[in-house]
Amino acid sequence: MRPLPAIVRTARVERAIFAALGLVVLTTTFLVTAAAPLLTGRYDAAARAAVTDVAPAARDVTLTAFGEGGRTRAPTVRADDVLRSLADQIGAMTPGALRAVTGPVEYTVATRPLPLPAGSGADPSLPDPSRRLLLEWDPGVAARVRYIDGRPPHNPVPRARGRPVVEAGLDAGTMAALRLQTGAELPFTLGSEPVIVRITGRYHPLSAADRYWSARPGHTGPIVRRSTEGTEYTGVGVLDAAGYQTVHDATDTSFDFTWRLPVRPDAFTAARAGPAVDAIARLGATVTDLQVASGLTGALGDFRGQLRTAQAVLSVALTGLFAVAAGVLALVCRLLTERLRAPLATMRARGASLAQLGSGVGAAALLVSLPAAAAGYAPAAALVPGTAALSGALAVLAAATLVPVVLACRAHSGAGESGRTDLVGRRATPRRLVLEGLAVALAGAGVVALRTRGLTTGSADRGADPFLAAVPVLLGCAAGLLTLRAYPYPLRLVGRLTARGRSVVSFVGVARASRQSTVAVLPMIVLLLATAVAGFAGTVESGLGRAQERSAWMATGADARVDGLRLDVAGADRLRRVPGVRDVVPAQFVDGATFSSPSQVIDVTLVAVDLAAYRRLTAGTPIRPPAPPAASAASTRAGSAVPALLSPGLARRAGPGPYTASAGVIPDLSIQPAGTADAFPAAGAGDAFVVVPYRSLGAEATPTMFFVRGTGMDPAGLRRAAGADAVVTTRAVVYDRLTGTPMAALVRTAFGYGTLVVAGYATLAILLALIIGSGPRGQTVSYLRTLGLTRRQARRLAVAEVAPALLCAAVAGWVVGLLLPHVVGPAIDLRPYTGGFAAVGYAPDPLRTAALGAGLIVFAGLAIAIETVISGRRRLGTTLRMGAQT
Amino acid sequence: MIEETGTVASDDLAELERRAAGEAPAYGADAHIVCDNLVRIYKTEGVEVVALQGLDLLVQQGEMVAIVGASGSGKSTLLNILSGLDVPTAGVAKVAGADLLSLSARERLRFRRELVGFVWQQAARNLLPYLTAAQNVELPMRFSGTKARARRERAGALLDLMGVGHCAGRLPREMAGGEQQRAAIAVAVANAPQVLLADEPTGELDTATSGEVFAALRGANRELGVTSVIVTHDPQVAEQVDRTVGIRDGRTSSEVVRRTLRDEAGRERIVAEEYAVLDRAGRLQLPKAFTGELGMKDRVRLALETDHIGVWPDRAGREDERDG
Repeated sequence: MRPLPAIVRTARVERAIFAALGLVVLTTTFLVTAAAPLLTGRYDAAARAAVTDVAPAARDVTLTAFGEGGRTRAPTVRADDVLRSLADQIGAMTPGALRAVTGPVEYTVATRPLPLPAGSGADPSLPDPSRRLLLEWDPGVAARVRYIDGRPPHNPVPRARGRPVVEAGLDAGTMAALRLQTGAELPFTLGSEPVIVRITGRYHPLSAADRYWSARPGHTGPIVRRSTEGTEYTGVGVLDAAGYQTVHDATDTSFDFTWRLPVRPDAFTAARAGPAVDAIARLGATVTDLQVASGLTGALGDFRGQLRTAQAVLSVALTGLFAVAAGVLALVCRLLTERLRAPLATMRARGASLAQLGSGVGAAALLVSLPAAAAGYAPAAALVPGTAALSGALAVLAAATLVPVVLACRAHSGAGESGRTDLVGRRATPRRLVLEGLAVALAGAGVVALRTRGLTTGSADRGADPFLAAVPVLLGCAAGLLTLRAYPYPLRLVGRLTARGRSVVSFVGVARASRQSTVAVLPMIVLLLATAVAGFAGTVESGLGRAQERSAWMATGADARVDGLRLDVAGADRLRRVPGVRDVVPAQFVDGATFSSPSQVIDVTLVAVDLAAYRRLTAGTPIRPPAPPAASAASTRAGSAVPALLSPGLARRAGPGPYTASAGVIPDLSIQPAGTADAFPAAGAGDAFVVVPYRSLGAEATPTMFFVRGTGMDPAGLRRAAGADAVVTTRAVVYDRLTGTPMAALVRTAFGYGTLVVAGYATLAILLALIIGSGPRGQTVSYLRTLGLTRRQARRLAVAEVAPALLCAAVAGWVVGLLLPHVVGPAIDLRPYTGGFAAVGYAPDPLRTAALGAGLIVFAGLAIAIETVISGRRRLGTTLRMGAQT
Repeated sequence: MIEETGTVASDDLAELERRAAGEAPAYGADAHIVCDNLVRIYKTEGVEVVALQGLDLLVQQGEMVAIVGASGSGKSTLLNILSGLDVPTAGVAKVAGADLLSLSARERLRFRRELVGFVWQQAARNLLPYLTAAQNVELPMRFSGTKARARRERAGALLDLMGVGHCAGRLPREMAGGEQQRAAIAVAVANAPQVLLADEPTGELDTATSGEVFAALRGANRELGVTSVIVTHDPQVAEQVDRTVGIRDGRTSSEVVRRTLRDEAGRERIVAEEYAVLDRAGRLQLPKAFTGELGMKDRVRLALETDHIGVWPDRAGREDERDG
């Protein structure tokens, strides 16, 4: 620790570079600590949102044995303790992954709903089919209700002799809906045995907000079902255990047994969602006697797909980001040791041991990076829910402290100045060539492996795939190395051109650029990785955006679509008069039409639309409806057969003709296939469909659908114009629904912030590249200024010197970024975000490319401005003497 | 004087010992700095620069030697090797008993800390710019683990000895060039090294200031008894040392030895005699001025006389060739 004061003083002199170290440590610590937990937190929130989107009653995992008519036969269980032990068994059989997100097993036993007997309703002489009662034993209810009159049911054990009487309690609201009173005795026939149900009291739930009730709608009010025949009310008569036993023993009625695993949405995390769904399936396979059901399976299936994609895409971006951060950190450390080289050499020559030098450098770096790491960790820890991991921050701190130590020790480990600066190696060492070749080969092998492996490993379910994330970084590094090897050649050409030109700035700048030291090579790789990350994010995002837009167009078929069963032809004219509407095309969609040939009958969707008009309507949009069949095909059998377009699947399956299309509402059509159409808007993807001309349905056909083109249309206005039962779907709403899912928003936000951070790092990399070159450039500039170089030309020299490398790195990085989605393509499935439409063709987005170019110029300009300010303080004389001093 | 005889006596004993062991005395066995057939080749990817090609040099303990030579002759390389900052490719280099070709890292560190000190031409390399003169002098002592109190006292004493005691609290940039170099000498001798090496210590200074710096070097040599080797271009410096060694093309080529003679009237007179160096292989570098004057090239004729060797240009041979 002895040389510490001296090195700390050095730090004060080199404060710019130490400040850069601090800044990089701060941001990197923040990123390392916050990024992954924040993302996980957002994934978890999305998982909970997906769970809570499912209605509570449908959400829970239920294991049911239906008394009769169901898939499974009811076990003959008469005593409550048996039910409870069965519940315990089910609890024990439940896979841990499911148990983690559910509460303790609950169970209920219920009879079927029974119409209230005669004498209890409005007309006492008849049973009332619109009011029903079912009897249920649910051990959780008694503790959660308060009887406002009467008393809780209390059935004696053993039951009294004679005609069985069962006591039951009812919810107050239900009682009112069923028009029952406390004390009523209802004669039912359960199975084939008569039973009297005595209503002992009315209850209110202690807390209506209790989640217990959300899965039991019948306990806190009547279950109301409205249909064309009228309204039907069903109430639940709450039994006690003895009551259930009485019903069981006295009658031969059948029961529905339900064991329920109540889902706890707050226990859900993204990591638990997938295993929980699998566990439900496993449980279903294990418990074959019972029917296992949960609404989660479907809801979380979508979420899993989205999560997998988000994790794949974001892990690639995040790894790239971390690689950039690591590169910038390495760059700063390298620059730091370069700056300390002279004083360290003097100290070494004066007898400092490596340990003394190393501890001094380490202490100086620690003095800066420790507070910086703390400053980066604190806000991250505040942002992250729970306790933030310290390991990332410690790793950054260790790197920021130890890398300069290692570099300094390596630089000063030998006898001393064994090299001569006036001797320059021309060719790369074999070791470097081998290492570079290895990196390129590794990247190539990684790409091949990734592409052949594809999605088959399913490691995405277990979290981010490290291999998937590592390959793009490797690829970026390999591209960087290749660029570095290749770019001197065009530069040499440019150099030859500039040597002939008149401008001294470009000549000297390019000449200096082609003699960059290896220190300046690192910023290039960092910059390349940074642009690759930005390019990747941009390409995926624009590809996703295009797919979502196309998907929204395909789902609606136009700017707006009006569906209805009772639309009329005149509706089109009324719609045209709605403000904003430019064009309207009527169409008829008949789901469940049949397409028959002599050999088979296939269910199809029949689409009747005027294709020419529809194509006019969709001109200039992302969807291209098929062209109408050629007129010749139509005229050959005019009158007899309708020229039709078939979906590819249908065309394959149809077999030889003649064909007929028939649906209840339209006359049968004899079909003449005139081609295939890959897809048709508004027809479900993958469905078989037949497209026929609208006029083939006859003059009196009514449309079921209007495609509406226009801007700024009011959906309510469209509905009014179209008719009573019309349903209006606008493309904007569909698009918003696609893009508004939590996961889609998450991916977009993450990409946005990621690009911002990467841009910051890129600026820093450019700045560091400039600082690295500033010493020798300062000398050149000073020398040239004595020969008459102006101040402005000196500034431009800095640009000319770094611009070629910068441009090469940025272009190469952008190309890598564009290629990445293709490279990792098999592992990135955007369909969960686009409603099933694959994102086709990740094409470069001209707007984004322009934005990148502009950003690069802005950031490079910023870096040059900062460098000018830093170096501007030096006087000519000082700069000229600098060479002598180093 | 008593000490002097003591030294002589011990030298004699060593000689006797060696004879008893039956060994011939090694080349420069009694010298403080020994360079024997020293070779240093810089090699980078197909380009080789031979900076030293078989250089011999002996410096006795307490001697003050100047090394002169044209730029590129290998002076600085020699000094870097002697200071342990560079490693020779072949040959023997010993300084104060340490064999510079086979130093371990630990020995090299000890060598730098305790055995040598040096002064570079540029003040920026000698002094850390953000430390005061006194702190700079203390720095080597910090490395070697001297106690703070002893450090401070010695730093003050050394700066006083160099005549820059008034600069103790100043930063290098607040000092004049000569003051900086004198402080640098104080830094170099801070750990009481046995050898002081200086690479053009007066190179950037004017005559008057360089005189002061040389006086400081001389003071260090006399007061502290440190063996001094100074690479210089400065004739003023070269003329004041006991011995000036000339280097040409990576070899020692000439020596000027100065002696103080007392004439009959008792006046002191410094006599400088220039010699050519005859190395152990019998090689001799003839001064370019001599060979050029007589048109000597490629071959010369030698003739052994009773007390000297005659060298003649090879005229006859050339005529023979022309005739042939």
